[in-house]
Amino acid sequence: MRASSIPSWRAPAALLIVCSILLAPLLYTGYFQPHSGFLPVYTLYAWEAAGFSPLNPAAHSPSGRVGGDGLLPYVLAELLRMLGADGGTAVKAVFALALLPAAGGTYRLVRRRCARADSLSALALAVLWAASPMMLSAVYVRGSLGGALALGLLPWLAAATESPETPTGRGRWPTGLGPALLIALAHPGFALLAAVALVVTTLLQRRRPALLPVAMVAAVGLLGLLLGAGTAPAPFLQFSRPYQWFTESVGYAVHNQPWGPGTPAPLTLGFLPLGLFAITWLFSTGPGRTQLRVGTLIVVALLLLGSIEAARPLWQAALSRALEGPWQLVALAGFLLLYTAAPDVPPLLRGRGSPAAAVVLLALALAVPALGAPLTRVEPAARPLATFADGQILLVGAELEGPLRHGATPRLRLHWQATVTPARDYTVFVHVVDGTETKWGQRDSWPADGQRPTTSWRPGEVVTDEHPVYIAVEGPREGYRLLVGLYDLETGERLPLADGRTALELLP
Amino acid sequence: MSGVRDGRPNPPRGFAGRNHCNPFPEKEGGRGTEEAGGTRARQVPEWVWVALLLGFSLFSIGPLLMPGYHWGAQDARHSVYFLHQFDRAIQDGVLYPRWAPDFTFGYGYPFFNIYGPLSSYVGEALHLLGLSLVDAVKGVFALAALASSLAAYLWLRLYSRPPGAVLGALLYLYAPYHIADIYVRASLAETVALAFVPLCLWAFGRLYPANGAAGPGLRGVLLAALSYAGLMLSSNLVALLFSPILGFYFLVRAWHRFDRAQPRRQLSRQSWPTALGHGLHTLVPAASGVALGLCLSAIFWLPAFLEYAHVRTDQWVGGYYEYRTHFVYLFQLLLPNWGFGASLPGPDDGMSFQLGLAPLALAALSLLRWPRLASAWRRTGLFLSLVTLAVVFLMLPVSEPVWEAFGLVSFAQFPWRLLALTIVCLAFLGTGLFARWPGDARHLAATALWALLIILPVYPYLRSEVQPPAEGPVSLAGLMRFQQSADEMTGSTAWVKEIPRWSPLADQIMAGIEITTKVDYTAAYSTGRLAVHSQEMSTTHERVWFQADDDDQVIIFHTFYYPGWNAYILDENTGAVTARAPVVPAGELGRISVPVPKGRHVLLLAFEDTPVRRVGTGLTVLTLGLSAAASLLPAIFRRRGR
Repeated sequence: MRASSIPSWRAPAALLIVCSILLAPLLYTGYFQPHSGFLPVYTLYAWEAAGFSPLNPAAHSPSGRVGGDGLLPYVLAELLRMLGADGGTAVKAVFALALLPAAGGTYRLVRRRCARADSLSALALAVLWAASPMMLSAVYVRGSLGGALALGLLPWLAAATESPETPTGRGRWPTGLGPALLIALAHPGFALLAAVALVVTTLLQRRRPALLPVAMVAAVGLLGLLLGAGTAPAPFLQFSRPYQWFTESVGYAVHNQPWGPGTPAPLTLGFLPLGLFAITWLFSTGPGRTQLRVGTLIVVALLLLGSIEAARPLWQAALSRALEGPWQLVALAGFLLLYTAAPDVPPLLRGRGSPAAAVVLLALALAVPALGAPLTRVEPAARPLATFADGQILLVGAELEGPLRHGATPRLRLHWQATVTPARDYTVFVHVVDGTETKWGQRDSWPADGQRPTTSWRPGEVVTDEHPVYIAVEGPREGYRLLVGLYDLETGERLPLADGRTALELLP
Repeated sequence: MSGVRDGRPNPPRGFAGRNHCNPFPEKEGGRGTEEAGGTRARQVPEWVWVALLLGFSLFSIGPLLMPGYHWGAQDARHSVYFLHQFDRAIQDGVLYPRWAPDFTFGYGYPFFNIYGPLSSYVGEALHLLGLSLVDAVKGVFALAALASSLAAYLWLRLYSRPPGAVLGALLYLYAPYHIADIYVRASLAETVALAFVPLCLWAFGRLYPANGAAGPGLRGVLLAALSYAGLMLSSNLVALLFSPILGFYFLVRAWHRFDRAQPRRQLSRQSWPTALGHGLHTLVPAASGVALGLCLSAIFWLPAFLEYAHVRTDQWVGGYYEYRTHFVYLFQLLLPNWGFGASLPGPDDGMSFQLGLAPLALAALSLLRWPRLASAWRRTGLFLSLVTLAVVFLMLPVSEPVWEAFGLVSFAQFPWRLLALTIVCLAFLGTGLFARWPGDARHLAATALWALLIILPVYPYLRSEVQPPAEGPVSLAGLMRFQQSADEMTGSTAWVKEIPRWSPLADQIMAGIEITTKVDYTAAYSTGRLAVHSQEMSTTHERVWFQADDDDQVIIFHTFYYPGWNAYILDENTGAVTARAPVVPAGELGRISVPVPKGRHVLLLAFEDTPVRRVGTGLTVLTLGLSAAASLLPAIFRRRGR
């Protein structure tokens, strides 16, 4: 018997309102500080300035790569740019577009896989996936534009790889091949991996997968990889430890040492997906169910094995060129658990006490730590002011307070961002020079007066650094220039900028 | 009372008295009750649900039970020192204080003439029972929180069975803004007012039972009047914001009743005048309730409104108080964060403006249940949904032109204060999932579990930042330090041209000298032709003996001039009033100065009611008397009739 139907607009409206909570940090007027920092915005502007050539936007990243992102996220962002949005807003909107299809796709997947699923239970699972630590960390912790979009499209791909027997062939293109094409364009490497995992899971569950979408993913994904989505290895690899699969602590550190500094970025399967998988195994029986779940567990185990330190050689050899990091394997594993449990969950959520609504509230409550993303008032411009050390350190903004005049002490505020945690502590120098390159003011210090040495910078974090510089009264009245740079105190060597210079001239 | 012909016989009075507001007349084993396997589930008595509600409400006041006080909260010090001033007046025998004698470094201020007194009365009662001022304030917060959950329960019982009402009441109590009012803002008046908001909705809502039964009659109207008066006496700002909502709310309820009696589809051109009359007649109970409520609270709002021009308001506009810098950004309404800081210009406020994870999510999920809910619920839900959308719009920066055009700042001060309206709306909307749950034993456990789920997201916010008072123990000296360090409680009357930053009185207080007179002796003896001696002083009067050598002498007091300060010349020996002396503001500080006649006399300076205040007081007393008579006399006559 088909579950009772609700007028069609109510469920999407309810889903949209609930998911709006998940979008809150993206609505901040400034920007947020994921590991990717402002790189997606800079890449977008650079791609735009280059006339969208080459077709692979990642080639325009100041750091040389933006984590294997495909074409789709930047096309979407560019469409929003054409509507008048600035780069930061356009990129944030694409992140939002990752979360919303995640919910919508899961809703559709559940209603399709479970005839007894009513709107509320399908909505509960949709919120569960959208609010899962995997989805939210892809956006707010990793800042993986393509990766988040691909995760959001994953439920759609999962639905597309279901049984190829559809009532009519007309629905096959948009509902089957459309998601396959989109996910492959979003993140080719992850799409390939996801397609393979879904097919293997389906086969282990003794079901027949739809091969056309898989073929589409394979073709487009390989093409994307060849076009250079994975031209450079991931800048850092955070391997998982088994305890992390079962904990939901949210942090931004890129190591996986439980003893710090900082809480590691999440590498969890998710409390609710794991819990629901376990509960359905215990309480939902039927022919072939055990086989189904064992099949999933095998694939999940393989994925998790690929995410631990022992798999480093595999990553160094190949995986890091296609994927951003082990977190994508863990995220995929978490989704597979939810995907397998999905048909059996709705009947458990129907009953006295609105358990489905309880799942929604619990999912949102568990998502609160992830929504506490650090925010910054510094908004990404079209390009960084300077790029140091092959894109490892970016100067993303600068403000001058006070006149550049002899006898004055203007205050220079610099905003730095690292794409990887620097291996050494660098000193910031600020020189005030006149037209003859004579220095009339100087200040050298570690960032933030030593409070934030460069080795403490995490990727994507905006570090604000203030330098009051006294200009000697003996110097000329005005006509000064500001030179800014970084150097290694031990060796005395300055870090080169992208164009080979060793100091950036800041125009007041 | 309703006079509505609803096509069905009115139920007997006793039945109407208990069940007229019950939207589920087929409850208790009837059609509305879920049945399993053909057996009826045992209904849980109402008091059990109320006890469950109160039990879960206790979490909200847990931090208040800690020793100490959250002195760092925004208005925490204000709340204590407001009560301190109120207590001073009460101790002097002033039954309805209007004058705060030690505001603005001892110059005084008509604070209680413009600030709702109810929270002060409750606090004073607790203080007179033996609690310290600080503990009395905490007691008021706690009582207000518990009262608000009970009031919300009462209101939501008009639309839901007990489980839905319990959970809706918890959604109301644990709304983040409600919690912030206690632990972040420490806004005593608003916290008390938030108990009257659902109470008003209940009292006015029950005037129009959804099932078409007869209304509660005169007693219902009086109850509505009392609830509205309570709101007016709690917080003028909340009353101003909420009154339009209340008005539209009972219009919705009345329209539902009217439509049941005379469906609009059956109206014709000829029947319109009758229908109009019928409609106006339908509104009589609610309108009477509002009118009586205004009369009952006239002692406060009439002088507050008509004498508002007598205080300076420029101190509270511009700068930090510029409302344009306090709009709420959309992400702030959604982001589940917390903070104990202040509202700041820009998006990085120190406090949270979130609508609440549980209220928002449950209101959204309730959309899926709407078609199965009672028409009364749906109608009210649609109304409150529109209110929520309108209020959210008014909190966003895009609504600035509306604020400019309608002068909304005089109503709300800061846009985010409109959050007080959203919490009651979302609490109602969130009950959609639970409204039809029967009140049987099987749902008792489910309700308890859901109560925990509702509390879970705000549990981390339930903490009080206890710290020692920066100004030292509660005292006049502490008050002076607070006023100086924070530039708070430094309101001035309209005659003050230069707002003082200190005073000779404050010097005395800080030196530990008791203030026994507010006469400016320096000014008095400056001419050499006037001798004065203060005989007695209280918060609202002072008797001063004087000897003036001519008719050009003036006695100046360290008290701000304000209407109501009257001066009388008394006979030195008999104490009889011989003449009235003019009271005029003097100098940059606008202090009270009294020209005195030649000779030896006694000057009595007293703060008395103006005609406006007398009218307000008279109206309140008269209405109280008539209401008491109207509610008691019928019972007396009935007893005599038997």
